[in-house]
Amino acid sequence: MADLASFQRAFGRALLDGSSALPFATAVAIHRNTVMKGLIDALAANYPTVAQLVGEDWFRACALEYVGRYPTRSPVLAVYGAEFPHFLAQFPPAGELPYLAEVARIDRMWVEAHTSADATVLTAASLARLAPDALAAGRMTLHPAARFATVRHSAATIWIHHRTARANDALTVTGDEEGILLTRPRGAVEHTTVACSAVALLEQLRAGTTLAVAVAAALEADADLDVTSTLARALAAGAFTQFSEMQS
Amino acid sequence: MNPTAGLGFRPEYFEHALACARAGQWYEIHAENYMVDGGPRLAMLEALRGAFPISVHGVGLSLAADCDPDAAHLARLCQVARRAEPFLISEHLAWSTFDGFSVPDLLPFPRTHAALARIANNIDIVQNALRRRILIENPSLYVQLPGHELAECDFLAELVRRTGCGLLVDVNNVYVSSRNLGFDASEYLAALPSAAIGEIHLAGHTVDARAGLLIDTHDAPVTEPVWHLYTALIERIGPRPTLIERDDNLPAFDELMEERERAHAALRGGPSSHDYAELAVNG
Repeated sequence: MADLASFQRAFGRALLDGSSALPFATAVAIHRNTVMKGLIDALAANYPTVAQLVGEDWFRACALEYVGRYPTRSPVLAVYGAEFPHFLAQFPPAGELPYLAEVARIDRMWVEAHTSADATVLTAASLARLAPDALAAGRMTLHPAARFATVRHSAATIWIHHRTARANDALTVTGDEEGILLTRPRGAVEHTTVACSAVALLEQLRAGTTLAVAVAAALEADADLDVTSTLARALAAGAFTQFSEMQS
Repeated sequence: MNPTAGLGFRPEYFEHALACARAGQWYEIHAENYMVDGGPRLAMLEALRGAFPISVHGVGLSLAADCDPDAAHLARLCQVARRAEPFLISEHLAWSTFDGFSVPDLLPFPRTHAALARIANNIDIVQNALRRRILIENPSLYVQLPGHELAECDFLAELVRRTGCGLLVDVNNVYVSSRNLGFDASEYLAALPSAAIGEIHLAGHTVDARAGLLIDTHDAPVTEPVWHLYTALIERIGPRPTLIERDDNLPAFDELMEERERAHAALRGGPSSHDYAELAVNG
């Protein structure tokens, strides 16, 4: 009898690639079925908007290919499927649905926002006592659950429609690039669309620049960006956890 | 506490689960579902733990892998245990990891003396990390693998003797395996060290007519043969915390509670399954 490790490697490999030449082919087939169902169900749970857009049959066929290429390396299925948006962008049958991979990115951001660490939310009121100079020289720490991105093909509008709209509501899309911000201010994950330049501003702040530098860079990219209202909305959404004044 | 019946917790049932006022109710969680950094999942667990006893059931530790349990995963299990403050912690006599992969299933292996030594060592590592005894659950088996050196009940009994672990007896798994492999489920149950049995699982299974096998799917009500084995078991060994497991094809909460009430009644030496149906009808 082969040792335990050799047995498990042979069984495991057969499980993932579906080969049936082994003496325990029946057992492999049954367990492969369970493994595939478990991974596909996990992927569907983590990408509900994608699943809703393409329907169950399309999703399961697509997921089967993904699962074969990216078997999980962790038993924590709550975060399975990190490479799925990238996979969809390269998946030929999704070629006619250019927004699909972008919607998948937002589904993934939602999972990350949902499972990130808890932290207090920085309020606008707590910044009110600061002089304008002190505010400009300070740094804002993003809340661990804050996720934001620019997405193409109106994916934010499509995603929000499918997450919130009633089935009969009409959906109009422009195909434009959009910004989306996901936060978790009070338990549940919340979403809001933002300007693409607002996303650039948040990216600057995430990189650790001072507010003054972040604002200057954002205004250089988009002179029309309403910085005050952008920051007010992000604060109200719970995007930040802390403000650090410049060290003197 | 007196052994009572509980339910496998699913987030879908959160509102109903939290509002449940039945005496002795408890919930079992899958440890891996709470291995996240924060957010609503952990908030749910905290609320549940505040109101009910919790049992933590791990599915990903891969105790039968031919290597030490993954240190990072074990640390996460310890973290879940700290959060849930469970009255029971259990894992499986199975493996699910190889070559860096981890699959969502509980896989079989040849029960050799070498495997016994390896798994006993792994249980020691886990019990030392958790600083408490864990329960080990018997698997569902589908085909007879070549190379077994010990019968499953002897293998489990030896793990108990070597590590001081307890047993989680899944009566449905015993039934499924007995039908698939052709052994006597009652004899199997009688051969287990009854004092070590710390929990019982009850679940439904599926008939795969094409393969001629019963599959442990947790997607249907507990079947009558499993109820029969269960009641005979607790009449013989006494009451044990008993869980109704349902992981797929989820029914309404009240429907699961009917199964839970049936187990609860059996634990109190109450009406038999037949009488229970009448009792439920008569209110």
